[in-house]
Formats: sequence, C-alpha cells, structure tokens
Amino acid sequence: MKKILIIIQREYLSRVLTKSFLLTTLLAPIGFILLVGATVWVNTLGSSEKRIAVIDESGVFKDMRFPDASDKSVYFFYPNESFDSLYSNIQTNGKEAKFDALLRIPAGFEIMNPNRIGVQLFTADRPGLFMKQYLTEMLGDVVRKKKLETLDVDKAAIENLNEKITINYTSDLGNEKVGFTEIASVIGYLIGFVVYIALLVFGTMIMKGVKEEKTNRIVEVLVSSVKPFQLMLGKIVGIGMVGLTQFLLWAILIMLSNFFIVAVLGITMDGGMMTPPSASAANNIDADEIRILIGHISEIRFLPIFGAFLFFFIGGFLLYGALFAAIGAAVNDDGDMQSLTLPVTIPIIISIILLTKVIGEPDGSVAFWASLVPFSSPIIMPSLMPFEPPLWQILLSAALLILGFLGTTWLAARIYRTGILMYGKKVTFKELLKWGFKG
Amino acid sequence: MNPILQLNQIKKSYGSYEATRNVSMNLQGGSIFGLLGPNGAGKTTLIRMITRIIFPDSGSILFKGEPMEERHVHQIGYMPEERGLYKKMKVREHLVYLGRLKGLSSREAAEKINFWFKKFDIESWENKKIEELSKGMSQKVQFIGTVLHEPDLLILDEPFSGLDPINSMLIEQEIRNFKAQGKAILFSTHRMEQVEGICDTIALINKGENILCGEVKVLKQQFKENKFEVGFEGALPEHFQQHFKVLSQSENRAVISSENNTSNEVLKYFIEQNVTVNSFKELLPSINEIFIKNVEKAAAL
Repeated sequence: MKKILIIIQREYLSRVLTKSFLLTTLLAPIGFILLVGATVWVNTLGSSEKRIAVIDESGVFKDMRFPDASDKSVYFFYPNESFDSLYSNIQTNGKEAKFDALLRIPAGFEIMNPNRIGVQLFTADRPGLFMKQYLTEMLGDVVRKKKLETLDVDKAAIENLNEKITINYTSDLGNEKVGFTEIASVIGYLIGFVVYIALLVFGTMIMKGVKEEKTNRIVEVLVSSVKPFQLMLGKIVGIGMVGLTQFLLWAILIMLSNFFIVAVLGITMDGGMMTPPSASAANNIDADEIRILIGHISEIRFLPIFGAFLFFFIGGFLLYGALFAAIGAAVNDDGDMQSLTLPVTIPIIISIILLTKVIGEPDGSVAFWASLVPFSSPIIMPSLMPFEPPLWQILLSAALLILGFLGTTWLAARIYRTGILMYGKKVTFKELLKWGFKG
Repeated sequence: MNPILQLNQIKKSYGSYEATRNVSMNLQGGSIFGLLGPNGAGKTTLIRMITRIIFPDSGSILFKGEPMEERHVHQIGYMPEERGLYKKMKVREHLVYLGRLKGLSSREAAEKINFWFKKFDIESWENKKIEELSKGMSQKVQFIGTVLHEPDLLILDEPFSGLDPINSMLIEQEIRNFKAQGKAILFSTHRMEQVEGICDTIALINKGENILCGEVKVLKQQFKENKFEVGFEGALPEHFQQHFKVLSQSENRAVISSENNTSNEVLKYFIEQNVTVNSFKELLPSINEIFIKNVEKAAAL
C-alpha cells in the first residue's frame, strides 16, 4: 500500500507541478468562454441586413405591411417603382443595388389559391437559408390571416385561435417548474460531456504514460521493486487525481466568475420565476429572464448531482483507466496503439451518442439500460441526475459500475503484467484477450 | 553460514517452451557469481524469478535461508540490461523515488544520495533533468539507483553493456567494493571474457539448463588439458618429442601437452635435460573454451 502511495505521489506531482498543467487549467475555461463567445458572435454576424422590395402587382396586400424580422435580418420596403426598373437595377448593380431582393406578388395572385400564380423572389445572388425560411413562414402567416379575413372570420376569433398554450407541469417530485426540464437537460448534457472528455483525455494520458515507461525501460527497474499491479494502480489513481484537481480548480474558477457576474451585473440568485420564458427568449434575453434561469438553476439539487458525478467519474475512470493502461503496456509503437485503442474508445463514443436520446427521454428504456451498463453508466448516470431518477436505479448502477471496474482491472492487470515486459512483438486484440483471460 | 541466495531445481515454462529446467545454484556473501550463457539461454528469466517479477512453476528460491518473500526484494538491487529513467525528472528527485520504492524514507534516501554524489563527484547534477544527462552520466545515476538502499544481493544484468571505459572501470571497482563488504553479486553476461577476472564462481546456462557450476579456479583445473607453454634458449633435446605431444613450436617457444605429468614433473624434465627455461606456464582453459566444450558435450548426449 505504501508503495502505491509513493507511485501515486510521483504520478500526481510530476503532472500537477508543471507549467503546462497550470496553463491548461487556466486556459481551458478561457478557451471555452471564447468558443461560446465566438459562436454567439458568428450568429450575430450571420444576420446581416437584407433589404427586400415588395412589389404587390395584385393589390392583395395593399392595405398592409409585412413584418420585418425581429432579429433585424430582413427589412421590407415598398418603393413606387415598377418591377422592371427595380429588376434592371439589381441586374446591373448586383450586390450594390438599392435592394438585395425583390418580392413580387404578380397580378392575378389569388389569396384563396396562393400557389396558382405564385409569389416570386428575385435576388442578386443565391438567397440564404435564413432569409428563405423567414419569408416562407412570414408569407404563410400573412396569407393565412388574409384568408381568414376573406372568409369573414371574426378578428377576436382569429386572435383566440392563435393563442399559445401554456402547460402547468406538476409531478410527484413537486419541482416541475416551467423551464425546469430545459435547465436539467443543459446540466445533464454538460456533465455527460465533461465526463466524456475527461475519460478520453486522462485515459490517453494513462496509456501514454505506461507506454513511455515501457519503451524507455524504466519499468524494468521499477518492477523489481513493486508489483506490476501496484505500478498500474498507482498510475491510474495518480492521473485520476490530476483530473479531479483540474475539476476542482475549474469549479473554483466558475464560482469566482459567478461572484464576478453577480457583482457586476447585479443579478441575484433568488430572482422570481414562474413567468414562462417566451418563445423568443433565446433572441432577447433580458435581466428578468436571466433571473428566471438562475432561479431554475437554484432549484436543481446540486449536492446529489455532484456526488454522483464524483462517484461515476471515479468509477468510470478506474474502469477505462485500467483498460487504457493495459493497452499502453501491450504496445510497442504508436501505430499499434491507435488500432488497439479503438475497441476501448468505442463504448465511450457510443455513450456520448446515446446521451441525446437519454436526455430527451430520461425515463425511457435507452436511458435506463445505458445508466446500468458499466461501460456507459459513467457518462449516462450523472447526466440523468438532474432528472432525479429513483434511488434504486442509482444504487444498482453504482454497484454494477464497481463490479465493472473490478472486472476490467483484473483483466487489465493480467494484460499489463504480460505486456509490460514484452518487447518487439506486434500484438493483436485477440492476443490481448488471451493474455487477459488465460494469463 | 547460509548462502545469501539459493536456487533449487527452478523450472519455468511459457506454454510448451521451457525457459529454465531444474536450475540450482548457491550465491555466497563476499563473492561474485557469474551467470553465463548465450543470448536466449534463460538468464533474464532466472533473474526475473529471483527479483519476483515472475514466479517459477516449481522449485524453491531461498534468501538467507528463508523462502523468498516480498520483503526480501528490499535487500536486492537489480540493474537490468535494458535500463531507463524518467526523462523529465530531476536526478535527485528520481533517486529519492527509486530509494523510497526500495523501502528507504525520504531522509535516508537523501543521505545516501549525498554519499554517492560525493563519491562520484557529481554533486552539481542534482537538479539537472535526466534528459539533460549524457549516456555515461545517466549510467552512473542508474548504478546509484541500484545500490542506494545498500542491498545484500546485487544483480547486474550485462552491467558493462553500453558503458564507456571510464564508467566500466568505475563500476568494476564498485562491484569489488561490494564484494569486500560481504555482499553477494550476481553478474549476468553473455560475454565470457568479461567474467574471467571478476567472478569467483560461475554457472553456465544453456537452453535453460545449468550445464556447469562451480568456482572458476576449480573449473579451470577440472577442465585443464595439461598444456604447458615453455620459453627456452638454445635447442631442445632430440628425444623430447617422445615424452610430450608438441602442439606448436617456434624458435624459442613450445606449447606441449602431457596427460600424465604434473607441471612440476614437466619442468623437472627440462631442467634435467639442461635446457635453459626462460618462462614456464601451465595453460588453463578460458571460460569460453570450457563453455563451448560443455555445450558440445551436452549436444552429443
């Protein structure tokens, strides 16, 4: 045991006390923020203003104005010029023309049969997808409204027809506030994604560390002092602690930035909620809505989520770490490593693919089974935690994960023991299994 | 006194391949034991069993008379043929790590490191990273790592391979110092000529079997072919060739063999014949010759 601690200490300190650890710990959140910022920025860039001239030759819409897009991407104009002169302006000037597009409602357009003589759009270059979508939706709405008017339906009735439905969710759990599911999903995704990345990054770190020990032959010296199993376990635990340290530092950074946001933006965590976020919330987030969101976040029970995250991360890390260590011990060069890594990374990748389905249907059968299988539970189970699955499911999943990592560690230790002192031999996956099961 | 290490009828197979077959040997304190044999003979397998990296299928290994256990590993220092160090670690830090894995406390390790740093005059290296060291420098660090915990049994697998002449001399001197301190040294090599001057006892391993074992002096006597080299002045007696078989002869030197005479009797013959003898030497077989002879004998059986 003492030797394992000495190994853990070396593995941990040799990684944590480096400049690169400090840099990645500090830079990763900044990189993440930059990534999110860049995405938002690109989105705002995408909505460059389009000026569309409406030429209503049919006169059907003469008493109304088409609504401009709320994201300021499309504006309508009603010039007193003929279609031909505007069209020739577009043809000669291209993008420099007075208008980016001409929306022509030809003479003979019938409101009750709008596609017989259809609405036409002329553009200098190919119309973008967003503009096309907006026009289709907007014209659909406008035509529907006109149709109802033509049919002489009462205005109040029309408004009544258009009213959106608000559902008041309640369940036994008693916390089904509006928007809660959405927040739970976001948190679930985030956790799943963090575990996924951590398993791959730190798993690879273990594999490379073991391979390095093997190829530079330090292992020959070490195994005469410690058992191969101690060496393997020390490395896995040491690197796992590096991962936990990184998470802890990130958590502290997030808390600090939270204080900063609260202090600077004046948003409090106890903000009132109950007001359903409107459909356009994503477009126009104001302080009230942020308050509602934060209100929901404070509804989430973080302690069990954090506990589950910690447990399943550690369990998953031991399970996969052992397998990655076994591969590192078996290979002699990077080419072998790539082909042998695939069978280990596939279950991790499948888990992250299943995550969407799992979060979309947290009480579905996919979510249930994926939360129990030890190869996917490290990612799936903590992601399900915000949805508060039954306790027995969590405990069963935890027990299976413990069995799972005991199993893979047993198998990996046998592969490791054989592989670590075997040089020059190209190893196949079949052979690895043979070492593992037959010893 | 119990030998430091005893191997009794050690057997180890990998599938159908027998890596070692009924190998037995004793290593006494204060002696250097040569484990000799060509590449692939089973030397490394034997060493790995002694250091408990792998375990024999049958047979027993005793350390100071007790069955070998995990705790005994702390009394062994093993320098493998292929040896490496963590490139990113600093010299002192690395040695402390190796020492602690052998059961030393950090403080004990630090004290012993100071001793060796001073002895090898390398105090200025302590904060250098291993990757900054030359090959010769890291060989010294490896040796210190092997002996830091003052083991009673020192196992050196091809210790001179890749060593420059200066380091070779240094290590050889240290091996002799360890012997003088009463420790046992197991020296494994496929280069027979290296052990002639160093080893007290040897075991010859071929195809997993111990084909010969014993003290170097005794073995040389046992396998000697009564060959003598005589340096002389003038002419040799005419009937000289009736008494001895002449293997080679030049103007003032002859190599002869005589199965029934001791060296004294041979020398006496020449003196009685009034030959001026300048030099007289009994030619003993080299370890290499003994090995080849025994391998051939084993193959013939």
